[in-house]
This record gives sequence, structure tokens and C-alpha cells, in this order.
Amino acid sequence: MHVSNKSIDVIKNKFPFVKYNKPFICDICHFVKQKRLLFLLSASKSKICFDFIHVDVWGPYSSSSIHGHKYFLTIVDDYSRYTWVFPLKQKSKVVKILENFLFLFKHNLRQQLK
Amino acid sequence: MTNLFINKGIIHQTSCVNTPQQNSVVERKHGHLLNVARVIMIQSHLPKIYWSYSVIHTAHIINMLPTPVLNEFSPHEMLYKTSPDFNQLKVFGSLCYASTLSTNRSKFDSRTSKCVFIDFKKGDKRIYFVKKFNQEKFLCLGILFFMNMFFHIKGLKILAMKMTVQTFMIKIKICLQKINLF
Repeated sequence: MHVSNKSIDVIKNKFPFVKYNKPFICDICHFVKQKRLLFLLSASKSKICFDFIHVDVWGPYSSSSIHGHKYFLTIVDDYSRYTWVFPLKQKSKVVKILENFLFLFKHNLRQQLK
Repeated sequence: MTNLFINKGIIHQTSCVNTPQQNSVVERKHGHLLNVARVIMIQSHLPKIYWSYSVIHTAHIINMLPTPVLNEFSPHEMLYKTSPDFNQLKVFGSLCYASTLSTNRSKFDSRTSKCVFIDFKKGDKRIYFVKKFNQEKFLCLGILFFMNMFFHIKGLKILAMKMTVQTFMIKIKICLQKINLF
């Protein structure tokens, strides 16, 4: 155990005759008080529709809907922020829906998907 | 999944375990979607099993409303380059009378049945409905809307609901004004 780096600095300034070791990496400190790093804002910026899409699955919801849906898949286009919502019964359907989505919008909107 | 991305030439970026913050755009959108969907469910007094419809309807509304992120443009405008059709908007869970099929009815059967508005059909101005008793969804074209009434409220409290419809219409008017401005 040791005093914090801040107090070491204070001691060093006030009492220059005190000897101390150079800053060292203390395992216990990291085990005890390591926090999460800050989340930086996303640097990617898109200039055309479908440059970049965000996808996420929400769920499971405790009570299934009238058709047995428990999840829903949300697709958000980064440029236009247009949202598509697809209700899902199982998570495994995501691949199929994404495939259909990409195919549909490649042909319908005539814009290059990346 | 990876095969799909390789075939289509897509770069797949994933977030780390237990950090939904990295997928912030969608997570934020989820929050927005669920807030509005909750409002819709509560005001329409529909049973909870229709939550999937409310979420889809919410996405439909959100895509039409202008957002500050896009300089007061709506996502619909950004994508299709045209202003959205506001006449098509209907209040979720509102009362309406849908005409029955002429082949199934005789002269003295009722011409319409009492229904609840549930969902739009994509790419079509036709509309989905739900019947009250057998709860079966069907497509219908000839309908009469009563957007200030909700089907599932006992005694049909019209006054309180008129307010919500009015606020809804005001929102739409604001949208229209903004569209004219830009």
C-alpha cells in the first residue's frame, strides 16, 4: 500500500529531503480503482444515404406480441436517420432480414451500398 | 452472417461486450421509439399484445417529423427528397368503420364493421385493421375514420381525446410550415 500520486507530489514539494521511488505501476491500484474510459463521439460521418447504417436488436420482451414477436430489429441510416423496424420471433432471423433489406434498397433506391 | 458481409462488400463494425454506448445512435433511437410507442399504447387503450404494431407505427411517425440533427429536416425528406404525405397519417388505435366485402353480405347485412386502426400497408395506401371480437387483422380500402375516438375506451371519452388529436395536428402543421420555409 502507498499514498496516492497526488500526495506524493505534495510531500516532494514541501519536504524535498524525503526520498521516494520513481513512479511505479502498482497492480493493486489497478485492481481496486480502474474505471471505464470515456466514450468518444463517433468520428465517422457519412455523406450519402446508406454510407453507414446502425443496426441493433431490442429484446426479449417478457410478453410476446399477437404474432409471437419478442424482439425487434432497428436499422438506422446514419445520413438521413431514417428508421426501419422489423419485429422478430427469433434472433436468428436477423441475417435473413438484413439480406432482404440490403437487396431491396440496393435495387429500389438505386444507390450504392457500402 | 460474415459470409453475407463479405459477399456484399460491407465493412462490419461491432461494439465491445457490455458497452451499448458504442452503438449510441441506435440505442438513442430505441429510447425515442419506446417512449413514443408507450404513449401510443397508453392513449389507445389497446391490449399489450399489440406492442409490435405500436413500435412500427412510431417508426412511421418519427420518420416524418423534423429533427434538429438534420437541421429541421425530416428523415423522409433526406432519403426520398420529397416531403412526406401527411394526409396519410392516422391516429393509432382510433375507431373506424370498414366496409365489408360485397360478396359476403346479403341485402340486409350490415355494410360496415366497427374496427380499430392498427397498421399501414407498406407502399400502399390501403390500411390494416383489427376487429374487436375475433381479433383478426384484415386489409381494407373503404373506411371512415373517427380519429378523435378510441375504440377500447369505455363510454368513448371524446373530449379528452380531442386534445391529443389537436396536439397531433399542431405538430403536423409546424412540420408543414418548416417544409415551406426551407
